[in-house]
Amino acid sequence: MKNIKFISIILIGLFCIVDMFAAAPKTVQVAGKVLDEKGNPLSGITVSLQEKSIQAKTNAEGLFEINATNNDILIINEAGYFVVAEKVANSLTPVLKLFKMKYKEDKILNWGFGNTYERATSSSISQIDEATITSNSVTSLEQAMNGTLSGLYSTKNGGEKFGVRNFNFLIRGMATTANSAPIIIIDNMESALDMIDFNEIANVTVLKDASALAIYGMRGANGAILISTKHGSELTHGFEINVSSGVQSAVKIADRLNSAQYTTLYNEALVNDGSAAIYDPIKYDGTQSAYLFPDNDLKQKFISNVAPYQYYNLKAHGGNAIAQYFVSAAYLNQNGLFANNAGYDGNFQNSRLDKFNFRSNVDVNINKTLRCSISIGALIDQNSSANYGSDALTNNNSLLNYIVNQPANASPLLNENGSLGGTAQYKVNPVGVFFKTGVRSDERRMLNSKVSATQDLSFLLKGLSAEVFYGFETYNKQYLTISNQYAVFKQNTDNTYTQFGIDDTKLLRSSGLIGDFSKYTQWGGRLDYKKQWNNNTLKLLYMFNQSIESVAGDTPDYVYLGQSVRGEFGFQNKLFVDATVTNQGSNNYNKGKRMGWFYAAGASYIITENSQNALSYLKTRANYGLLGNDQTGGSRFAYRQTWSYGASGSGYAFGSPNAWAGGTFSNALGNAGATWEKSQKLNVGVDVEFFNKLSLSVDYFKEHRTDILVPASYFPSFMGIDMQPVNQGIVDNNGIELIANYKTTIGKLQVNVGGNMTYAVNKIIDLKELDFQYPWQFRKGNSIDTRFGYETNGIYATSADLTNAPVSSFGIPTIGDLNYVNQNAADDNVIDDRDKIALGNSLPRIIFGFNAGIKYGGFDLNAQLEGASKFSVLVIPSTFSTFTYSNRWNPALGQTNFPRVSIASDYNTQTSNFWQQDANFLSVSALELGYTIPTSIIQKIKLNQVRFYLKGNNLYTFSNIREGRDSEALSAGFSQYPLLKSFVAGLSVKF
Amino acid sequence: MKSLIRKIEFPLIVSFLLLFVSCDDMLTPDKDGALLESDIWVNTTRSLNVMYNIYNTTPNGYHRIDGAMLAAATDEAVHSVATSNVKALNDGTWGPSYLIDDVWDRYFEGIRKVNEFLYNIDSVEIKPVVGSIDQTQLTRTRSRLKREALFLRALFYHELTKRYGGVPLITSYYRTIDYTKVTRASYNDCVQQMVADCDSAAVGLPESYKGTLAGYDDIRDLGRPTKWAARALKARILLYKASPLNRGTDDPTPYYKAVGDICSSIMTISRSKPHQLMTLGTTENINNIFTPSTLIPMYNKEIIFSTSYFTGVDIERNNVPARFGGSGQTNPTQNLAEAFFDLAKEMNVFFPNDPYGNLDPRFYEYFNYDGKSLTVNNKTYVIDTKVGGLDALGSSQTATRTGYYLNKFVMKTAIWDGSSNVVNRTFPVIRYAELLLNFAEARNEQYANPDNCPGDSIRKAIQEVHNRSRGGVVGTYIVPAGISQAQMREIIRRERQIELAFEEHRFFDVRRWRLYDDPIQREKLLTIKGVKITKDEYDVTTYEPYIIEKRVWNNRMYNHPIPRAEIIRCPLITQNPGWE
Repeated sequence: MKNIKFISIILIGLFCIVDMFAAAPKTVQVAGKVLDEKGNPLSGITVSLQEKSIQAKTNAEGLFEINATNNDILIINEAGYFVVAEKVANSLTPVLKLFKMKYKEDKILNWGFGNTYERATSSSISQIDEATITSNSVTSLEQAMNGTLSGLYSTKNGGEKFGVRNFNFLIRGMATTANSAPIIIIDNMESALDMIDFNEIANVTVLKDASALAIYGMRGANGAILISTKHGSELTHGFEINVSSGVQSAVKIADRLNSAQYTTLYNEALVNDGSAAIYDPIKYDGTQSAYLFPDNDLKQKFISNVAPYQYYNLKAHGGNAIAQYFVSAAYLNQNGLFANNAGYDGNFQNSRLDKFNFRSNVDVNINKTLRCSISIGALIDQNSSANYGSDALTNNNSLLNYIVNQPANASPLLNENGSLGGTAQYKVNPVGVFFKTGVRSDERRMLNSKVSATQDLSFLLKGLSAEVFYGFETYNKQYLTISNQYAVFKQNTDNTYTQFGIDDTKLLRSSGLIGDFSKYTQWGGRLDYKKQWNNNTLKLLYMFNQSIESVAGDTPDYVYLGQSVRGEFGFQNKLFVDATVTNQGSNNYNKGKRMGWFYAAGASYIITENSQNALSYLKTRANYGLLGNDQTGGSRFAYRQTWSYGASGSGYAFGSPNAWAGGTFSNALGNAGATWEKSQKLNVGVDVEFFNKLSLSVDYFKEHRTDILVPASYFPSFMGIDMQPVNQGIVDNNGIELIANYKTTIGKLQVNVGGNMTYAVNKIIDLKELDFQYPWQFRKGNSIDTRFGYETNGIYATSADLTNAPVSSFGIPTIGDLNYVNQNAADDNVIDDRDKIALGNSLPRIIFGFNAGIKYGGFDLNAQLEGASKFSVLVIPSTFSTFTYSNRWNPALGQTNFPRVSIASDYNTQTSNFWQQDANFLSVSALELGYTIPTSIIQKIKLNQVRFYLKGNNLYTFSNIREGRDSEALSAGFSQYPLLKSFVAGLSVKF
Repeated sequence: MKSLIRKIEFPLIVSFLLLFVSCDDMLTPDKDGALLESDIWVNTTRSLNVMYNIYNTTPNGYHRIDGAMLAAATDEAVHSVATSNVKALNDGTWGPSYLIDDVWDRYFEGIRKVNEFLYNIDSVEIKPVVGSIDQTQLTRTRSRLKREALFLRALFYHELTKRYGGVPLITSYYRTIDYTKVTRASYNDCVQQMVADCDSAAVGLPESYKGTLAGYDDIRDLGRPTKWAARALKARILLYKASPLNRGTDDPTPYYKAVGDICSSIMTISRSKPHQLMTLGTTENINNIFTPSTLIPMYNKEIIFSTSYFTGVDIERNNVPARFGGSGQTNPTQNLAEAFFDLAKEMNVFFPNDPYGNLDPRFYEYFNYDGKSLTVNNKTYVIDTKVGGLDALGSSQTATRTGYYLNKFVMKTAIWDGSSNVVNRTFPVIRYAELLLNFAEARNEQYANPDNCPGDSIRKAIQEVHNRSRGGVVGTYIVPAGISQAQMREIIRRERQIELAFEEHRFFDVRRWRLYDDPIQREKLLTIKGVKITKDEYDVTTYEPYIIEKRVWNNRMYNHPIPRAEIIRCPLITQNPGWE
């Protein structure tokens, strides 16, 4: 109800503004004509007035009529044609010519080194635009990048994170044992993905090959994700309001054992371990006192099926020849799944997220040659939860883990006398947790701003221009904890109570800055030279930039300094050649070793285009280059050996009473040659289109990564000191990428279907491993993500099987235990590290995404699927889980497929192929159904567009993982907060 | 077109390229407060304080084996947390790839730091420290620190050799070394080096830290090794060398004689009595030796060397029953209790129906047993480990598995639930009681017949240890006269087992004595027992010992395995037998 009120106020406010704009002076009638480049009339072309919602369409003779004022500007912005803008003052009967674009000239790529037409590049491209982003996102932009961008691996990083980054991104797999994550750049500044509202985004581009990445130098080898925010345009304008609301529910929350099951299993484990049973499961059948023999279903009592979600966004954009603007404000609210279903009195503390985003991008043409842009983005978000352990996000995981895994018989929630139940072992009581421990709330604040100025230098040299920019981003995170203690009581058999902990009614408040604060500053400039003659183009670019990041602590700022030169030459608009040289450095390295050279060169050739044959377009392209990755892990300034003095825990105390004094000690020996990883990348690709409807792109990529930082494993321990890791690892990575899209229109029905697939496999060439005794111990020759563990050969079922069975460093097998294969049986009868072999790979070899869209009349339907294949996961069910209960080794119950339970032994829970499962999945990641009210109706109420939609996110996953776990977030819903699926209804109104 | 490129574009491309300037110097990071080696040995405080860090490497920790005490790997105790890695020492599954009690890195790190300190410290220009002591005293301190460093190097090598046998001997400072050529020194070479270090240390270390020379032997330095500590350590090192495990083909007698002589020299200094046993009474018991109290100071005369002054209640919290807010982890065994029963039997004061009635007072200080009233953590209850009792097996998931809880080191004053009251303590490395027992053992081995030992000193040493805790409560213990060397050996070993229980001696003692070679002893050591206490309807209580676990022994376990990675890295370092 509240929300509706809020929206109404905003709507009324907006109507007033629209009315203001609608009031126009002195109208004249313009009657014009639109022709194509050959002079033939064009019909059905929309002609509109700048800054106004007045439009007209041309008839069969190419004629249109429109009411305007002398100050107005006519705009034609038709797909496939270059834009036309004409002042009304020039003529009341204008003849406007439209020039058709060459193939894929309409797709402008906004790259780090400036705008490029897609046809002119030698690079492999994946990009998503506004439509895909808004249709696929519910809570974050990341959701829109899931499966939609070819070559981009997006894997969920555990359960729901409430507005905080929850995807790990990799581009074309991995090529290093260190950090493989791409850099994320928002409007040319490195930034965080989770701090931006998805409605602010114009497009997301993934850069994958040397030619596209060369300007990023030592930051580029892992690829880059470029995000561009929206800017105003003189071609369109409007207000837009988006309201959506819905529910989120858990994809999966594990079932709990009841008390009888838990105690039975616990007893069985004890007996298996050679101890005596300690519980009497029969007493939990409900006939005994529920206070002495409790049976709590915490999931039923404290978890709700659905949690509300709401989202509001307001955007305004527009402009004229002098200034253009885009402003946006968004509010997102997400509640946790925790709930008080049991009717306890008090203030129940659920988790929640409140997130506010603001953005303002303004571009001003100060005079004919100078253009300035000012962009500001801001975020405040607040995560709160019951004060259970640490920060709010970690608490959500801990709380879920507690609810799922706390034994049902731990203690009664409330004792007979109304006090909180608990024992010496279980001093945490769920009622205490959700009602009495207080609140933890974390708030993130981010301000990102950038100003730039572009000066046209044509007066010096035609085609020359210069740009300078300065931007900063500040970020901090603060916490507020209101904490409280509560006592729990154990009700003894004689009805006395033993108290644990103390009851405290004072709510202690503490707050402060979390170590997580930073300031990121970047400034730079560029010189551009463009020349066009006889269908030939030459572009030259010089750019330099410096970025400075200040983080918490006395660490020196992280400074990068870079300069690049790039040249692009287009011959007859068919053959394109590009070359880039970058000299970039970081202050992390030793003097004389801070700067490095990076380069790339590429070429592409359009063999055929616009042909009337089945093959309507064919382009080949290739590029090669050398890039770097400085996210090698290890310590900063690894080239030097430092000493520490007075660090806590490093000293000693003498005297009585004692006096502690800090010690002085040397840290690891320096790696004098510490450097970044070098990456040689080759990309070869073909773009092809048939019948102007079906387009295909195929890319082959190959990467050779050297100088990977690896442990100096050869350095012996008896030297008494560590050695910094050394740059001696080598990894290769190669694969294939496919993109296919099909678009067609059948009458009123528009259909598009598309898909992308990436196959990538990496291979370790060298990691400077120990000179192992057996060949199977080496990671060399396997991939980085190869899982090592034991091979199993079933379960020891009889005592005969145990004859001569090898013992292990983690226990001695007995009946019901896994039979581990002793790889070096010739040398010993022991299972240890030396028997571990390569079991499988954890990174999917193949990832894919499909999208489909249908438009019919006012209805539109969009679906996005994503999936992965050729990988494996390791799932070891917890000892006290329903899965274990119904599957564990117990021949008396006819259960012989899984090993026995134990508390003392971790014999059966070693990494082995027994627990490994080949995995693949297909997930319906987004589904949207929309209905747009016909324009004829809404224009009467001065609206441009009204669209209702139903949106779903992460709706269903076809997967084969044991216990119904998600292969990307194995612990979600088991020991971590679950993944969520969202069902949302929304309304979008454009004025 | 060609001419166009030549005229304008080519010079333009070149000039774009010329824009590159060298930036290396612009990237010099701001000073970050990190210290480099050049900042250390030029500063008096920083260089002298290297020793504080080296002390950090000394042996310490009551629960250092994955939460368990090393006692849980002997017949002294069972660890009730079944998942602790300490079990690998008991089921025999530890090995060079699964290292338990792995101290290889730790002590070689200490040794390197000692060598580095000794290599650099002489060149340090000593300047007076503001607000503190003057140059002369600092120079004296420096020379003392060098002796301390030698003492610590001997201690570190002792910790290594008692586990691994002979190890690489590194006694000078190298930045790096050609490790492919390094070999293990013989046990004897190691002993020689340790003895030399102890001797040099003893020469320069003060006799006590209660003197008046500020900065040299003043009270603030209590806890540093003394001359006596260096000598006592030397005696221990020689005793280990003489023991069956390490004597090889050497005649042990001269070593035993040396041990006896060193101990005797410390025992017989009549004037100052640097070390003696603390007299214990009803308010002060053996636990107070390790913690300060009103009557017994922290570094009392019984402590010859102890390490790592620390404050906390972990020991109490880890070991008292759940009802007291603890987790009852270290459970003393019936095996240890039986050592007390045997003593009582010999003195004819043992009654099976009331086994805990008349035992050596140390039993009450070590054990929390059924029927004992315990106060800790602001709670007072009577321990109830009878079957079904409030502290018995099943009362909590880490309830005692033996029927006993540990009381040694547990201080009643410790509180951690709600409010808190912490306990200060150190970890005993050498104390006077051990010195007396080392003396008794060495002299007994030196003289074929204990009666031949002059002054009846073997019996006296044992009786001194034994009777100080009795305070005349349950009579005086007399070691029978006229017994054989072997009988005396048993008495010494039992006294050692009792007195030094839970202080990380038993694990190494049973190894250096090669007790596992004797099938009867081995069976005893490997059969770990608890007690099952039941009360019938007539209130008759029965105590029934039962076997908790049968442990595994293999003769290779006399020495620890060397980490496998180290063997792979250094081709000339050989693995201990049986662990290859």
